[in-house]
Amino acid sequence: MLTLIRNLTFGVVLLAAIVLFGTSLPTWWGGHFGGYRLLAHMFASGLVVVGLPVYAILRWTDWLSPPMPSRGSSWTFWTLLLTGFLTIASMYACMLPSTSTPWMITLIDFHGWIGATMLVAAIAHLVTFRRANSTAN
Amino acid sequence: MRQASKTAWLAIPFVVLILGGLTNLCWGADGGRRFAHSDSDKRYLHHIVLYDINNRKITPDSDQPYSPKNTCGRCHDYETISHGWHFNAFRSHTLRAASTNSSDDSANLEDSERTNAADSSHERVTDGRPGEPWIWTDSRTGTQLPLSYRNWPGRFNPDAIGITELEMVRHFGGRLPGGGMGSQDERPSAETTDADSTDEVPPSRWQLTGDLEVDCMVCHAVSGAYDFELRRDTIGSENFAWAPTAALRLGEIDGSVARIKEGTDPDDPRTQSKIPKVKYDANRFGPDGSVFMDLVRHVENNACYQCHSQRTVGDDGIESRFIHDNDVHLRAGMNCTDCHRNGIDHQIARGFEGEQHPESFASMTTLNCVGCHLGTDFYLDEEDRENSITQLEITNRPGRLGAPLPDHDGLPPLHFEKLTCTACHSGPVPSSSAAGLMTSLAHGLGEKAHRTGEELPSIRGPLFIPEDSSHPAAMHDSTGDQDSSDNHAGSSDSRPSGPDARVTVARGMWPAYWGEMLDGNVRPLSPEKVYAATRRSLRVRRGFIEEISKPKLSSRDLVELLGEERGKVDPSEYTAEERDQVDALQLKEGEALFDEKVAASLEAIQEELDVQQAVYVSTGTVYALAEPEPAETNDAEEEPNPKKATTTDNEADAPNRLRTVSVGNPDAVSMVSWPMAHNVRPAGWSLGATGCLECHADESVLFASTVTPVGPAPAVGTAVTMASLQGIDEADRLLWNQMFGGRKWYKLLVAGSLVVLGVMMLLGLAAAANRRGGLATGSLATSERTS
Repeated sequence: MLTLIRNLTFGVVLLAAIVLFGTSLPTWWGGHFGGYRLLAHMFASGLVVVGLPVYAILRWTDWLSPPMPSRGSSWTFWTLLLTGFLTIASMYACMLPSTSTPWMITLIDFHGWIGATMLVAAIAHLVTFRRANSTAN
Repeated sequence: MRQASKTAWLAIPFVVLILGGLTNLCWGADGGRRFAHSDSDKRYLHHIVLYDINNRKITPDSDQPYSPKNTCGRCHDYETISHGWHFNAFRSHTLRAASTNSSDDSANLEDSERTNAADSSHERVTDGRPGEPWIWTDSRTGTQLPLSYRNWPGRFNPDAIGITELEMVRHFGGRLPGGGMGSQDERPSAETTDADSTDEVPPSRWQLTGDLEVDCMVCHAVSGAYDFELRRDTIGSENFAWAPTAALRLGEIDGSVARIKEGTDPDDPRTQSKIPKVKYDANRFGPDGSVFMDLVRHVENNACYQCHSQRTVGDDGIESRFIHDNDVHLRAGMNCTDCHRNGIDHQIARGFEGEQHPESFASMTTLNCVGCHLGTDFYLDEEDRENSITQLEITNRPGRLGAPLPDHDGLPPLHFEKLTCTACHSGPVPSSSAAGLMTSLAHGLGEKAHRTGEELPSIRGPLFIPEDSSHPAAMHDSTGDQDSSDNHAGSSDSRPSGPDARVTVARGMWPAYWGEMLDGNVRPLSPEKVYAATRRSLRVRRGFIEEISKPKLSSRDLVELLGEERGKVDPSEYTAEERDQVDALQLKEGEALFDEKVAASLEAIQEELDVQQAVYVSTGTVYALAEPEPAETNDAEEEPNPKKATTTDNEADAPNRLRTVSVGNPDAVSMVSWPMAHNVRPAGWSLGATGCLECHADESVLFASTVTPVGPAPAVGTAVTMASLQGIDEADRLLWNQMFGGRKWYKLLVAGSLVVLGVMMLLGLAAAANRRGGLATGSLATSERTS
């Protein structure tokens, strides 16, 4: 049951990450971010904000007792958490009333790059996780 | 012979060099101009000799007015100055007329020459960003007609309506600094305008009025040295050429051209004897015959206020000046000309982003909000900013004139793509509905008068509309051909349009005029001709609104409505309910009167001006005469008559004489707008200063405030929200607002998420460190055992 919930949570996070990246794509070429794309981006961001910590808690127990996860799976997991943390934090800083416009521009730029990295980490985590599972089986 | 020819060829370069040297001497080494200048920051005292229009020196015994052109023009480049922004309000028309006139000639030119001529013409006829129109207002006929010779959307070209240059100067000259149509040099020649006319040309009245030359002292005189009121009165008397003399109070003007009958022969000795004479004040002349002109180079604010003042009209009338703060820039000690400056060409910087200024160097083009406060590279991305040439210039950095650098804390950069600076920072403090506005140009502010705030033209603001929406489509359902009316300017190409257009703050008005229907389009008629034709049918003495649309109720009506006791009290003592009752009755009577008098006037116009179908336009509605048998003969374009219930009890069975019709050029009847930039409010009073929810809420003024079409007709327009004028779907807006409503909780959720993730990563690090420590301990124990 725990495995199912864990896998479902990761699936939601991965799907949300894909939506987040997809909706932001036009801005990578100087496009405008607004309207329904921004709306979808904001909805998907909510899923990551909730899903990623839940997945982190559920998955962290793997490191409490043997057998320990594979090295690849470990690396992608912690990378996913770190990039996710930075992605969320960079947008959270923009939401604070103390961030100036130049800082906001820098943070939004960073948010885009680290968000893309998070997607890569999530995909890599999926691959390494599946590989580790199949090896174990 | 051959030797002589060879010598001549050799001499040519020398001749060219000598001529070049002479030219250089003539124009001087002073920046290419032939006029001397002081080159000092100190004020240059002007004790100067005055000259009249015939270049004769003026003495205390002269009786001719002084000519600024011949007086100031002796030392200043009048020709260049006279093409500056304030003097070329009518110039586009002159240039276009000249361009049209020369187009036939250009057929004979070589292709390259024709291209150059066209380019040159295109370059010179620049209308710039739309500004306030000249609003021809006639309270007797209920007319508020936006005019401009500049090709600005929503404005009508006076020439196409049949309003002559003389009428324009007569009507608006009091607010013109001179030049343009007021000057013979700038008016299209009679051959140009009346090329096809075979009628005998009547004697020009300009010969009597004289030219309204560019009057340098209008702006450059120190405060108190120039009498604007007397200048207006003098122009009102059609003493155009005498206005500069009168305004400086150099002497008394005896006579009035206005009293000379129209069509009088100017050369007639009897007419000549009626032409005004000047009796100069001898005390103004020095021993050397010079006159001290008390003037400054940098124009004082007082001169600008003459034409650039604005008052807000609230529910209680014109808001007092003492409750209004000044523009923050003025409070900081700046002057209008610190930003709105110009060179000798007098192409004054208007100060908006993207302004195409003839002086293309940055020190002029950066004189706008962004240029001073954020720097010219504000909109560039990081890469472009690094490659930007302007970034290398110190003068392009933010902080010009000591401008504070705004942090815009918490404001996502998206807002700079969606809003102009002025949208949040400028204009009267907005409320739930647009207020009334009065401007110097439209309402003659500065003149002594008893104003109530209800005077025409009815201008509304602040409006939050896209930069390109001089005619918001949302104001009219019909989608007619925008350029179908040849006398009505189409959309301008000088501003961003479509989805890229940012929301800005603006003023707006609904045109009201008498016109004719031509091929389904409405076209205004000359207001002067309309007044003459409708004088008997309208019978308005003071104002269309107070005598027709909103007539004063008789004491008998009031007693019948409110009772014997309350019907006799002062209106200021009415209760809210009584006020509503009185207003309702007033509207009812107004609608009946409007129906009767406008119908009679439309008939009079059709008869006297030989118009097939006359109409009256007001409040975005077009009124035409009803068909004799409406039930059977209404055509497809007829709309339901909104005044079915407007007849009085006595006339309950009388048929309505008016009907409303739709037109093929809705832009000719819908709202005309123009941006406003001042007064700039302090940062704490800008929209959004308290947070996102100030704008992203259901009742925010930026989106939910309304504007109601107003005009002389007794029609109650439908209020329109700013969001609809911005083209924003109401459902989308409410959806976004809901998201912003939960923003505070979302922030808490995100903070919680970050805390959990942070803790998890710390625990992970601790576990890793523990494992590594365990491994190290294990390996140490192993090594100890081994040893």
